[in-house]
Order: sequence, then structure tokens, then C-alpha cells
Amino acid sequence: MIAREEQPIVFVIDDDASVREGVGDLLRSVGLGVQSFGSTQDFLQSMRPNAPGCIVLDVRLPGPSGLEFQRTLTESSIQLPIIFLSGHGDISMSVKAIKSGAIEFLTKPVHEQELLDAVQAGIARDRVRREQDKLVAELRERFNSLTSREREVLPLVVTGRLNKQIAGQLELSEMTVKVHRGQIMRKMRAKSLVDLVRMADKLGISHEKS
Amino acid sequence: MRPIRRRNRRRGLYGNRQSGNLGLANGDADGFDFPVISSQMTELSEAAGIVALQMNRDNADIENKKGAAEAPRPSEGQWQQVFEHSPAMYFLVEATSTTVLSVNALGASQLGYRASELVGHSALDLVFEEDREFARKNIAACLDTLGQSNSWEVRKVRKDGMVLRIREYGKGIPWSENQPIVLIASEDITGRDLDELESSRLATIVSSSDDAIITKTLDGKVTSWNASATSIFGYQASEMIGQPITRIIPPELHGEERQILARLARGERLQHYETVRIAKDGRRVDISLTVSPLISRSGKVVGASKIARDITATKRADAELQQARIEFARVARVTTLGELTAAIAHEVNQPLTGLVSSGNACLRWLAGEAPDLEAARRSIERMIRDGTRAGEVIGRIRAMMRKSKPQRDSLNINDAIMDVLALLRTEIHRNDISPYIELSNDLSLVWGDRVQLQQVILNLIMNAIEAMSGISRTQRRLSISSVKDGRNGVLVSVRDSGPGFDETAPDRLFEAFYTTKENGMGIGLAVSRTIIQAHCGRLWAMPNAPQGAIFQFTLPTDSEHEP
Repeated sequence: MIAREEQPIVFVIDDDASVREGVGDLLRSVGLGVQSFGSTQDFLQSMRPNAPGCIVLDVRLPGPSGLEFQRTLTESSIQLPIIFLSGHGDISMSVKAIKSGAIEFLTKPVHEQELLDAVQAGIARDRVRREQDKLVAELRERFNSLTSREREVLPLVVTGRLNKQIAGQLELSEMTVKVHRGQIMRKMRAKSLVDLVRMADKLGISHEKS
Repeated sequence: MRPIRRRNRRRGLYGNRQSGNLGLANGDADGFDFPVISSQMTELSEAAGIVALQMNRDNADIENKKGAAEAPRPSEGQWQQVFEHSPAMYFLVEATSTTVLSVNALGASQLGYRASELVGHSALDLVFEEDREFARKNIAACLDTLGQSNSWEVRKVRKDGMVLRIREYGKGIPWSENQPIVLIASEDITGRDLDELESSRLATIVSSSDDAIITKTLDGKVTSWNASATSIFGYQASEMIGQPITRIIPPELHGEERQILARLARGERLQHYETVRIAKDGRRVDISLTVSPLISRSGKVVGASKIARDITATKRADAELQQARIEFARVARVTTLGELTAAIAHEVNQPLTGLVSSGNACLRWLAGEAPDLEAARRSIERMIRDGTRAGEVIGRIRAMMRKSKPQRDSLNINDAIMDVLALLRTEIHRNDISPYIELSNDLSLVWGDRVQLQQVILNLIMNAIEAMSGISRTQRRLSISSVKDGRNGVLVSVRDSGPGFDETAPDRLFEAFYTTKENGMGIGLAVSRTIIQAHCGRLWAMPNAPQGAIFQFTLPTDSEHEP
């Protein structure tokens, strides 16, 4: 299923050593990799392994708040899911955190199973994201192999235009359009038109754009 | 006791003195009474006494010259001797012209003259100008009542210009060829009425005082006992005078009385000494005692005067006030801690989170076919550490909340500061403040109530944190320091970089219910100041540079405070 080098890593960020070490120990005891940081700055400056993972973060850290940090991550395109730990149930903060994409908002002292479930969910989500990122990257590569004419034709194809209509629009012969379409299907490794439409979707290509 | 007579009082006669209190006696029919006027005079001179008594008793004889002549009498030479050596001033004055015929040495010298300078001149020349007519009339009046003593007061001017008040006793005496002369005996009473007024005022004060005023001998026998002594202790003066003072002293305090007497014998005074006495009905009375030695003219300590104030009611009120203060301080403390609930909950939750997580981890290390004992042991060590830490936090809170009597101990103020900082760690951290802490190592111990002093430190630091909540995180500066104050004292300062306070009225800050905070009760600083003052210290505010406030308090050290 998962290759061994892809062992997930949990990043525990808390300024309190008791929490950092306790939570870290718990996660290690279920076989997860753990890296601990006393502050978000330390985390941002660290070299992170290329592996699926998630962040366990104290919402009331000194310096930028947990929510601010969440934004910083998005801006730095670090897309690790975050599980917030909070000293006491702060409902408005937890709602904001969840809306901003946090996996879970747990109250200290954390319930073991809740934490482990949240961490597993976070890792799973990260893994999916990584898979998708990988897929999109591959599609982008295929897309990049298209000629400029083919890139013109593609959006028209995926919006369901007939060859004849495309030929009219681009002032080409119907035969030429048919050849382009065949090249596109081959280079994109699309099994069907539906398949191609889905790929275009993932790449964010629509006919309006062109 | 010389009666002050107010007959013939003249306006303006003693215009430069307290005329309302001065009386003029005139035309006394009692004869010469100067032997009893002044005890000083009788003490000083036997001779004068003899003369006076003679004159007094033989009043009738003088009127009837014949009878008197038959009795054995001193010779004229002897009289001359008496006259010359008498410490009273004697003038023999010709009645009509007022010319001085003779004056004794003292009479002249008391006015700064030699006798030879006065003889032949008018006696009125010595009298203060305004009083001359009055004096002349009085001398003249002696002629109308030959053989009777008249008395009056005039002002006389000493040679150096000083005005003296003189009481004169004049008597017209038939002299040779029926030419009467007037014998005037004079007494300098300048300032005497003030002494008299003073003693009557003292007598009034003693009898009307609400304080018990008691005198006693050095061996502790009561010699006087005023009305308030009776109302406070229940014994009548007749029951106590001559009795040992120990009658009202509780048996366990007899030693104290011996110490007091010993101190008195050395001439020392004892002021506002709080102790207990027993009233006649057995009731214990709290009193504040001031004891002064009674010193005789010769400078010997001959007894003691005791002023005792009944402070039973004051003490009860004090105790009630103290109780109210304690309760107030506790409420203030609990209120402050209430504001801190979130921070404190966090402070307990942190170690608990670590503890629970490590416990779960430990179970997992032990589970399975090959338990990792080493990892499990490390987990348990952490659990012990975290549990201890949580316990300490709770201990600190409980200590701050406890409802017990203040307890004074010797304590290191730095320990108190560190305890408070530990409690406020999260609060300080959360506000992005890195406190600058500088505690001096060579502080003496202070004598105080740890919880109360911590409350003050807590209030000051909380105030500093809150003051800075409105300013940018990077500009927040909190510094806490302790240094030596003076020779032995301790000075604790809490500085912030907040907006500061209204410098025109720094003391308003310490008024109860004065607050600039939306949710504050405004009692923190008021309570803090009360606490510091109860520790004989001082708490004040001053502006910090370049901005913010400094709150400082001083405390005396242990040694200065030991009872």
C-alpha cells in the first residue's frame, strides 16, 4: 500500500515541553514519525521531509496566533493539514479554524483516540492531496507536450464542440481538427472524451478561458 | 489659696496684661495676711514670718497702743534688724506727700535701686504712670483706717524699665506727733496669676479627663485617683489611695509593673504602651498607658503619673476593621484570580495534557509482543514530572485563595516574586511579553504575610500586562526588579511601557473603585496599598521613561520589625 520511505511525519508545535514531549511520545508509540518544535518560526525554518503528514498546533502560542499561522502556511503553499489543540474550548476560534481547513480542534488535555483519529485523518487527507498533486503535475506535463494549436483545440473539444464547429471557429479544415483531436487524446493518454474532460477539469481548463 | 477679689477693678489699669483675670483687692479688714500669701516667702524667711505673725495677731493691740505698750516687745533696734533683713519689700512712706522715709535693702534692690536712691523721693515715682493716682488714693485711704491693713495691686517700673506687678499691703500707723505714716509691704507677683491659672486648669483637666489619671509612689502605692479612673476601673479614690497599684494589674503582668517602675526610677517615660488591667468587677480592660516620672524640685524621681486610656472599644473596632480588611483583600484576590481563570486553567492543563499523553503512550509501549520497557520508563518519568508540576500550580492557587488569618513570617521577597511569575507565566507569554527580571541577591528577609505580598505583586504585574494590551506587541516591556532600599529595606519595582497614568493625580490610582478598565472593580491598587502599609511599607506610582508607569513598594526588613 504505502512505501516504507513514505512514513508519515507529525509536526508537533507547542511552546510547552510537557505537551510537546507527551504528545510526541504518544504519536511515536503508534509508529508515527514525530518532529517537535517550540515555535512556529522554528517549524518554518526547518527542513521538512517529503512525506505525508500533518501539524499538531497549540492555538494559543505566543507570537502570531494559530490562525495567523494557518494563513502563513497557505501563503507559503505548505498544505499540511492542521489539528489545533486549545487550552479551553474557544468556540468562535474553533469555528474559524475548521472553516480555514483545520482537521480538528481538540481541547486539552486531549483524548488519546480523538487525537490519533484526527492525526490519521490529517495524514490521510495529506496523502490524498499529495496523490492529487502528483496527478495534476503529471497531467500538466502531458498538457505541456501539446503543440500550441492542440492547446487551442483542447478547450473546444472538452466543451463538446463538433469537429465541424471547431474547424469553422479556428478556420481549419475538418480533417485537420480530427488529426489534432487524435493527437490530443494520445498525448494526454485519455481513454475517452469523458476522461479528457475530467483531466481538463483538474488542470483548470475551460473554453471560456481561451 | 489667695482669693482673687474683683472689687474696684479698673478698666485699663493692667491694659497690657490679661486684665480680665486680674483682681484688685482693697480695704481688706483681715489685717496683714502675707504670711499665707506665698509659701515661698515663709519658707525663705523665718524673720518675715515673725514680723507678720506679730502684726497679724496683735492687730487689736496696735489699735490700742496703750495695752500693746505694756506687753514685752522687741526693741526698736531689733525691729530695725527685722525690717532690714526681711526678704519682703518694706517701705515707710509719709502718708500725704508719699515721700519715702525708709526702705529696706530688698525693697530697693527688687526694683533695681539702692535704698539711698529712693529715700526722700515720692513712692509714686516708682509706680507705673497710669497707676499712680490709684496708688496715691490707696495710700491715702490707709489714713482713714489707721491700724487696718489695706491691700492693692499696682504696676511698678524697675530701674531697667521692666514693669512688675506688685501687691502691696499698706497700713497707716500713727507716728510721732500724730503724723501718720504708712508702712507698705510689697510682694512681686509678676506672673503668679499665670501659674495659678495653670494649676487650676490642670486640676480641671485632671478631673474632667476621660482618661484615668493616677499617681503613685515608686513602690507602687496609689497617691491620687481621678474620676475617670473610677469609671474605668470601678474603684473609688478612697478604695485605691494608699493601696498598691497591683490591685488592678492582672497577676501575670506583675512582672511588667516591676519593669515599668524600674524604668521610671531611671527617669524614663513610657508612651502609649498597650496592656491590660482588671476592673473591680473582674472585667479585663484594654488600656493604652503613658507613664511619666514625677520629679521633685530637687530632681529626684519620687513617683509616677499614669495616664490610662480605655481602648477596649477601639481594640474591638480595630479587630473588626482588620477582619473586614482581610476579607476585602481576599475578595480582591479571588476576583483577580477569577480574571486569570483562563490563564490558570491553561497552566494546569499543560502538564495534564503531557501527563495523559505520556500515560497513553506508556500503555502502548508496554502492549504487544515485545514491550519497549525503556520507552515506557521514560514516559512514566515524564508523567511524574508533569503531575508534580500540575500539583504545584494548584498549590499556588489554593494558597492565594485560602481564607485564613494573615500569617507573618520571615520571607525572601524574591521567592514571592518568582511564585507569582510562575502563576502568571501563561498570561505573560500569551501577551507576547518577555519580562525582564532582575532580582538582587543580597536582600535581607522581610517580615510579612506571603500571600498578601504575593497579591500585591500579582496585582501590579497584572496591571502592567493589562496596561500594555493596547499597544503594539513589539513595544511591550515589562520589568520586575528587587533591590536594597536604604540600609536594610527592600524596594520592588514593576515597570511597564503602557500608556501611563494621569500624572497630576497619581494618588487617585490608589482610591478604591477608581478604575480605567472596562471590567475592573478598581480595588486592586487600593487593597495593595493597604497591604503594604500594614507591613509598614510604602507603595507609590511614578511615570516610566520614555513611556509607561512604574509601581514601587518598599518593605522594612525582618530585623527592624521584630517586636
